[in-house]
Amino acid sequence: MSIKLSRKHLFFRGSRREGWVLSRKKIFQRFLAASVLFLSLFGLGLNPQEQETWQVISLDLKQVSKPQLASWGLDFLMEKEGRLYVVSSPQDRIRLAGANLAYHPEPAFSGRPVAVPSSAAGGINGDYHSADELKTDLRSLEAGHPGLAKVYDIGRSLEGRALYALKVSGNVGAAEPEAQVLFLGGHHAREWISVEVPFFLGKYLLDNYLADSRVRHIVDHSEVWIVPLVNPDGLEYSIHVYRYWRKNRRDNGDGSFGVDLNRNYDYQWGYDNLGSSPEPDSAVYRGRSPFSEPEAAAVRDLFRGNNFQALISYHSFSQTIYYPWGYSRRPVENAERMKALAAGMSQRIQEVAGKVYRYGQSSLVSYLTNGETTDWAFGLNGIPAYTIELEPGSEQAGGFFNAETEILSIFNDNLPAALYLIEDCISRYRPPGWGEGPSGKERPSAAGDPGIRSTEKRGG
Amino acid sequence: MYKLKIVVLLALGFLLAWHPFPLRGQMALGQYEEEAPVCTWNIFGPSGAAGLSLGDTMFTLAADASALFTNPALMTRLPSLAVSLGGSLQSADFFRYGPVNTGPLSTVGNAGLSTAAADLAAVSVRVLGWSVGLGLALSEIYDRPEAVARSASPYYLLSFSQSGYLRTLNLSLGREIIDGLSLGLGLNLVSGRWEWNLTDAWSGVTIIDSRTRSLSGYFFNGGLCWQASAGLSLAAVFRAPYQRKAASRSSLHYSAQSADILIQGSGEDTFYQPLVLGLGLACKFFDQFQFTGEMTYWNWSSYRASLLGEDVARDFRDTWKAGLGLECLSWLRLFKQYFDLPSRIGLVYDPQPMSSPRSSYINFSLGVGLYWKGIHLDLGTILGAENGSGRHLTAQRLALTLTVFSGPRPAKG
Repeated sequence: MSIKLSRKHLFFRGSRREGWVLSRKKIFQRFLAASVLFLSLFGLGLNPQEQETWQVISLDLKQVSKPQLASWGLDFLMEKEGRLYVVSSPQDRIRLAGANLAYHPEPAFSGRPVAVPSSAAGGINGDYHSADELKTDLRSLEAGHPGLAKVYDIGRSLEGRALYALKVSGNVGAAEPEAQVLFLGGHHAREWISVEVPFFLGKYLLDNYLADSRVRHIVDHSEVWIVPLVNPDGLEYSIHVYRYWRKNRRDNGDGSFGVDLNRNYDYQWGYDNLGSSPEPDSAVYRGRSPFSEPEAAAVRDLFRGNNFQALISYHSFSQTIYYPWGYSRRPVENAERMKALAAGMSQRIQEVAGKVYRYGQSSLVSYLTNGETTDWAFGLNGIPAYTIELEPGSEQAGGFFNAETEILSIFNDNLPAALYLIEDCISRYRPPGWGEGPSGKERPSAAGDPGIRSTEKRGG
Repeated sequence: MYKLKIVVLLALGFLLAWHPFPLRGQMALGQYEEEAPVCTWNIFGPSGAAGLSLGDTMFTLAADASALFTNPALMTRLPSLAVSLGGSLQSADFFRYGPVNTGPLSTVGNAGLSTAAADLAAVSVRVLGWSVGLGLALSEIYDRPEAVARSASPYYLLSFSQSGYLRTLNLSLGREIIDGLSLGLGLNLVSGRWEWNLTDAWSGVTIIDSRTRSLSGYFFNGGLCWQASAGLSLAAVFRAPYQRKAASRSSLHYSAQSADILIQGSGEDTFYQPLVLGLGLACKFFDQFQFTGEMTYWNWSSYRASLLGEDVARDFRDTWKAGLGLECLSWLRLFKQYFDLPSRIGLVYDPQPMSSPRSSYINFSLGVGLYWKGIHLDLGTILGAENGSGRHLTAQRLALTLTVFSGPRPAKG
């Protein structure tokens, strides 16, 4: 019996068929199941509404004594390897910080994934997903969370691999007037971690829907779309042939291979030869024409069928949050919210474990890029759009490599930022016709705030 | 004296057959997937120089003891004792393989690979009407031309190498069940190694991608041959489908000033080898001429490859390979001795299983033999030209086979 129960499991399914006479074994099994369910819902004596603000943390017993903590009214969970695990409220954590006592959040007790799916483990790429493993795990999420998760086939790569989008939402099969946020990963083949973070975001939202009221609110009031792997052909080549491969697998016909998918979007495509290259053998070759590559075109088509309010495209590496413009050093205008959100995300990432993610306008903080995803999303669709370059911070610290043991910690670092962005979109979202008085004068203008979009266009 | 000769030949044959590490060698035409054998996917079995020069026909004529790998029934057509030893020289062109000409490494023109090998040891003995064969051969080679790109300033190094082999140990049994019709069955144990090394290094950073496989598996082969008339022989053969398994390990290591990251994997690779069926005929005419023709069907559409438990894409189609050969017998008197001098030519059509690009090889073969009493020395060569990949790959192989016969050849051999 899994503690990950879908809503239909909350009812006593099957009892009529089996009758009321239950064997002792079945009674025990059901008691156990009910206990697990009870604990998952009301774990640690907290009701679901409160659980989101409570957190299990651990403290070093060399720095703190149990009587001292007991005097503060903290609930002890256990003592293990010199650390004391306690349940803490926000006030407790403020008090601990005020007393200069260091503590670690313990995601294993906080609903976050603590192990990569077994299907992803093994193989040349270790715990990272291959295209096939990702397909299996996305389908598994869909099957394990009916009503909350749906996997869409949004296109085919050059080599014929399916491109998948995971939609996470309450009543997922219906097109409801809700905020839509898109998370992309795996534009660049060698950036394996960029596939994992959006995948685990989807998994986190689904696995914690029942137990965490914050997650439930997000899922019930938004549509979170996740395309964890935009470039499956490139990823497979990176796994099986050359680890540092970046582009897709287009045969350019001149002996070179690949188009940089993150230079293939049509907004300011080919603006200059600094932000992308017309040379096929360049690592930033932009392709023969905008959206010449089916992988980028699939993202475009997903956009056309929806009305996203924000976008994050995960990449690696450098620990930076970029927002448009990338094609020009002209400062972006009318984007105060986008800038503020970047600062907010950076702050939330730092709050997890102290990791510092810089943020700023892409072309000013980093280098010029044109035909890039977030310029396109902001320039043509007017939505806040971010490239988050994940860890590490430098090539000497690992570059495009992350140890397998870092996958979940990097996800955990980035989780609050993603949730923050979704919640912001939810809070600002107004359904079509909202505020429309008899004269229609009260209807808000979508053009004035990129966070407010209509939801007339739908579908995967 | 006769018994001693048999014992010595048997001992020599078994000694060679059990030689644990055959040298590398096989014909090479250039293929792309990492598990692809050098030259061609359509390797039915190792054959001697005589079969090679007769258009790679190998299961209708009993030229030497290598027959046990291709059609064990042919052992009944050999003298009561046959011991064959073979070696070869080969060279081949490659274009796309591993990271070469698929992305990070480019070559100007095709890359070449040359190898030499002692690649065949087989013995066939007939006892109480049964023919028993034991052989060891190098059946597949996975080598690729080494590729290195480097620069001193800025420092940069990218190097790639791949090597490997598969050897087959065959134990066969054959018997003439009715007059002119023989059957044979062989058990084949395969084993081998495969290694891949890619090093990517630049200022302060080194990435080493190392992979190894220990290959193993077994399969059955068998066939029949029918002496339809004094001048006509017919044959049919099969090779059963089987799983070639590999204990596989991989290591991906990134080292830099502040990072030492190791991603390791281990597990089992599986390569599902297809069913192969073949038909052949050989007919004699004008006493001194002999014609052979063979066709083999390869059920490559059933081929599957799984690396560390994960299926990898291989879009293969079924293929038919065809070979034709013509042999002309003559003789030579030298040092007061008469030598038989068979000369041979052949033609082979060898389509490859990849659906894209569709690729096939046309091979032309040539050979000659020098036979004196029970000692046969055959020399054969095959020259291949590939069409379909756009790279005009070529391959050559020169094979030499020494066979020592003892005892009478069957009346209808």
